[in-house]
Amino acid sequence: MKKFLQVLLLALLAGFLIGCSNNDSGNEAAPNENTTNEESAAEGTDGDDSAYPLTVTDAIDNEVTLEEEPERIVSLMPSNTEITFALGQGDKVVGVSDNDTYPEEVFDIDKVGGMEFNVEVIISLDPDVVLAHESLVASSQEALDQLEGADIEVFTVADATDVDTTYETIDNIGQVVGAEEEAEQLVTDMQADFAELEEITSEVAEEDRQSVFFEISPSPDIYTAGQNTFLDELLQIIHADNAAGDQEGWVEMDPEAIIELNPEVIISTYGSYVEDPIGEVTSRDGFDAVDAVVNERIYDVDSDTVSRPGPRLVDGAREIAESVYPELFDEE
Amino acid sequence: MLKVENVSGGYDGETIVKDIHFSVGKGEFFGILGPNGSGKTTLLKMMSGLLELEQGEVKIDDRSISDLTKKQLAKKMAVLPQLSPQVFPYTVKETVSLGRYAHHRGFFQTWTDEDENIVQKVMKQTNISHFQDNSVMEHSGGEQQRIFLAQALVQKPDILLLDEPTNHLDLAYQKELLDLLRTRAREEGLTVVAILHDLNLASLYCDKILLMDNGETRAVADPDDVFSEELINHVYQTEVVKQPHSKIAKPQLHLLPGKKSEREGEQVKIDENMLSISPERIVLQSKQPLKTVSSGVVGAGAGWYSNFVNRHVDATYNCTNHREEMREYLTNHGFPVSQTVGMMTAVTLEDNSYRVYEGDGFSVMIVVTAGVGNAVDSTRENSPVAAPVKPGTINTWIFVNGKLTDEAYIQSIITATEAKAQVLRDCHILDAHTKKQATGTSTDSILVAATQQGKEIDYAGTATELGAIIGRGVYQEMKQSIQHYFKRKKMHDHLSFN
Amino acid sequence: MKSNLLKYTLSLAFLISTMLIAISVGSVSVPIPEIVKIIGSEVFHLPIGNDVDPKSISIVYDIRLPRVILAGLVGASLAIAGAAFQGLLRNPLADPYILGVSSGASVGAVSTLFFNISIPFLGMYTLPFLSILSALATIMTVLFFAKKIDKTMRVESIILTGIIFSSFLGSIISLIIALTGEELQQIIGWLLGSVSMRGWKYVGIILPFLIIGGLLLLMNTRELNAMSFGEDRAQHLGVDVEKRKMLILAAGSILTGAAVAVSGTIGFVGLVIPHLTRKLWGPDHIHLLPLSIITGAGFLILTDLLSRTIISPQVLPVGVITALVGAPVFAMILLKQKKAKGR
Repeated sequence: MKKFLQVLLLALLAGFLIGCSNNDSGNEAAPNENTTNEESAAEGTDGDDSAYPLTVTDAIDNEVTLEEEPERIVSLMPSNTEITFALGQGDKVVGVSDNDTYPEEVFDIDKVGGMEFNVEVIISLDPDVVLAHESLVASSQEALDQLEGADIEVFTVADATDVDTTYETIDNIGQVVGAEEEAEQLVTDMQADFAELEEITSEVAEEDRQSVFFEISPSPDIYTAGQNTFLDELLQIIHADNAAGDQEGWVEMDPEAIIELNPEVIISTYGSYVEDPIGEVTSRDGFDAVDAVVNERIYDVDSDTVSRPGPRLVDGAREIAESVYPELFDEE
Repeated sequence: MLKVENVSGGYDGETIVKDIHFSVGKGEFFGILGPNGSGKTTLLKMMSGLLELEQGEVKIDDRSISDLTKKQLAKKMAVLPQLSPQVFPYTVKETVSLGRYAHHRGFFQTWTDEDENIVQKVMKQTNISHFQDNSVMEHSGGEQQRIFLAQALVQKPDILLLDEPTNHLDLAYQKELLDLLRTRAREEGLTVVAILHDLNLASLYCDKILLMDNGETRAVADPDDVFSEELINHVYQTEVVKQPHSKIAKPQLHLLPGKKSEREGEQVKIDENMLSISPERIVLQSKQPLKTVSSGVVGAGAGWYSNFVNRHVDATYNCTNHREEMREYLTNHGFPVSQTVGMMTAVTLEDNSYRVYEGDGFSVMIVVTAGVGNAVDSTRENSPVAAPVKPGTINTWIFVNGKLTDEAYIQSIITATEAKAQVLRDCHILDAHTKKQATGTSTDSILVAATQQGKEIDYAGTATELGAIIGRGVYQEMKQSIQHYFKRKKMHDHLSFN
Repeated sequence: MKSNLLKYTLSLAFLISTMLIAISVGSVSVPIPEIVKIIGSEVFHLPIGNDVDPKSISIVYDIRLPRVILAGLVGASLAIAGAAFQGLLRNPLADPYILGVSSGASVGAVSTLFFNISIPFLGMYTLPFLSILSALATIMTVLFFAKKIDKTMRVESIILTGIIFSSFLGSIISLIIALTGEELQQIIGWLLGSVSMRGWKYVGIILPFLIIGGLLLLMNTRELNAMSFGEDRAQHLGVDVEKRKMLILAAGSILTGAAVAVSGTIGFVGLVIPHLTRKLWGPDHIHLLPLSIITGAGFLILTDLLSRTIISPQVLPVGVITALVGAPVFAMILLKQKKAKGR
């Protein structure tokens, strides 16, 4: 765990430093178009076989054409922001959503709104590209149309619900922001990390496989994650069973049924807004018959790391694995 | 019983009712009248305790109603409000039973036999017990009114307040309801205070009336005093005519429709040209109805008529129901009975005499058919029960082209009768039986009809011009007619002797 | 005239059968003899034997039983409050939420969730406590304003003020929802209404309010009868209208506030049940109120059973089921009524 954090911190620091230098030059260059061109051509790491002007097709089959590498990026989804930062392009991000919490830098970046974003603010930020998200299309079609009407390129990132699609979105974002190599590297790293986790947990004997029940929201309306969710996939990777594996997607569970499922581990994801998530579970009437409560195997994980389709899914998976099979990680 | 002492009040600080003062005795039927907006309902609300008084006091048996609890008040006073739409389908009996609320104590009071008896008795009296299990909503306005009256009556109140109880009721129901209330008042001493808007109904039923105008008292008195034409005209801002009820001793008020000029209609002047005389009948037809007082066989009394028929009947005419026969006769000859005054005479109609007399701004036409075969002295004792009918009847018609008061009509008849007596005296006509001076015949008829247009004539005594003309005119025409009669009679006698 | 015995027998039969079914049926089915054993051991400390799965004990005694009873109490509270409001306001379409009581209770509850308030001593009772408190504050404000608008406090003025406050408080709830982040799920869940996972403690919270409010209303049944003919009429009949009206409004608000506090806003129960009961057994409040209690309890137990069994082990919000069941029933009543009138 420690080791992992160190790596992460280093990576972040590096990204931050690069971001700073880029930012500086960007600011100087902004007033003069010609200089910008020269400079970007001169310093462009992948400048030799420059892909620009670049035409890409996004998740909703829109063709997006970028004349040159974007210098000003607005991200409408925390996962987009996290990926962009992980690709070392964080310094180009000039606007993020209200829900962004990671990395730290986002708190200093202009906010463009939450569930309903503010088109005026986005336009005033003069972005070269807006990284939208497939899940926003249904609710914010008009706002996205307005952005396009203002001659702002909007690239809609696919709504990934599994790890493989997440890799694709990382590649796509890498292409758009001019960091294809970094994207390739990031995906490779993630794959390696997942492989490592899978290997460690593969030691678990079949009879020791734990059944895990996720709680997305606290009592009285307890929601859980069934099939086709990241949580379910992460459990598969770490060789654990989803107690609610018969359900599909996000569902509200009958408390009686939870007791009957009798999970060995309960993992909540609402620790960020419920004061004592573990106490919440143990204090419930009737839950004292559940193995997880009897054996005090209730944990809380950061919901962002297990729900945002970005680079931190690995962290989430590791946190879950360490909770479910602590013995495997203590040994290290 | 009930005293309203210098009461003022209204809504939201606006004083609507001002300084009303009256008292109602036990068993009295008290009416509150007044034009719309005069504050009647507001006053009733203050009397029933719904509205606070700004000033004054309402007292029952010398206790202010503000000192009584709501239940105590409800036991003394019940209210029948104007009907409002029902929301829930309560049964009739459930609705009536609610009236017993004030007589219950405690939170979970049970229904006693006494309650049941009272409810059943009152439902019977108000004639609603046969549908007591139906929903109130199923019933007509009149029936609902009775249901809510029953609800008020089972409260066993000393005083019953009613707000326009006859609204929306058919004529028969209005009478039924008011009769019921009056019976209760007379027989059980129920004090009834009712807002009424029909002045004539109020006159028929109320012992005393409060007339309100603009929130103020105009009069508190018995109906005859309240219903002066001037007062009603002033309060209601419309012209009414006061008349006695034709059957009972109560005043009635009549509206005059339209404007004065519209009411008078087409000008009409009665003259000789309008008479058509045949051996069978003398007829006068007017384009406008004339206000007539007569003693005809049909259309007697006072009324407005446009056809006047003096029919000749044979001396042997004998019919058990001569009125019916006369109606048939008129109908068969195209005279609508309702617009016709019909008289009969056995006298030969050629013995008529008529003439128009001109006065100052008016004129009078007098038509007489006379025969004196039955002449009698009206003062004689032991009148014969039924004298044989001989052609001997004096029918006098007086048409006035002018506007007569009721007094003028009566005085016209007096004057004409005095003139008749004078004619008979001057002609030396004696009572065949007593051989004394005759004053008329046994079957005389008279008719005074006026166009009610033109000059207003207040009196027709002999001291007035109209009286003078009638006296002179009747005298002259009657004398002439009698002379015709004698002439013919002599000729006839002479012929028959020969 | 239907006999009173029949009315009560049928209504109680409905309540008892829904209770029995609701206790035995669920995501996990527990046979009735086992249920009897569990209740016997938990309530009367009878020996239970080793053949009963301890999980079944937890499910039946800790989860299902309190849930069924809470559903019954909430249904009873809403139904009797609805019946009283309909009579008092002379409006068969009134429901206990019409005066803004539920919006008030909701604002209290939603604020508790949004600001993550937890009062020491109260702990998890903070939400129902603040909820009832704001319900009472709301009704008092509504009545205060109604009195300001119209000194005689006619029902029209009260309804009008209630509607104004309802929409004002509703907009505050919307505002909180718009500002909310992760608590959204919780807030929406609460607003949809549910009797799930409240446990015996919530049964204990609502019970005293139901007893107080219910008794107050049952002591005013004849006054309600009189007032359903109009306030003036009631006063003429000897009812102290002003006092009784306040009592009835306060009792109805206590019941509604407590119900909303423990279970969120569950719609249609307070509207449909009194209406249905009146259609079946007549408008006389002396029987309408107790029968509404029984029928309302049975109805909410039944709908809660449906909400947790239709797509078991998942659950649907019970408010959705009450509306799904209640709306067609209500439509049928109205259509039938129209036909009857058209005759």
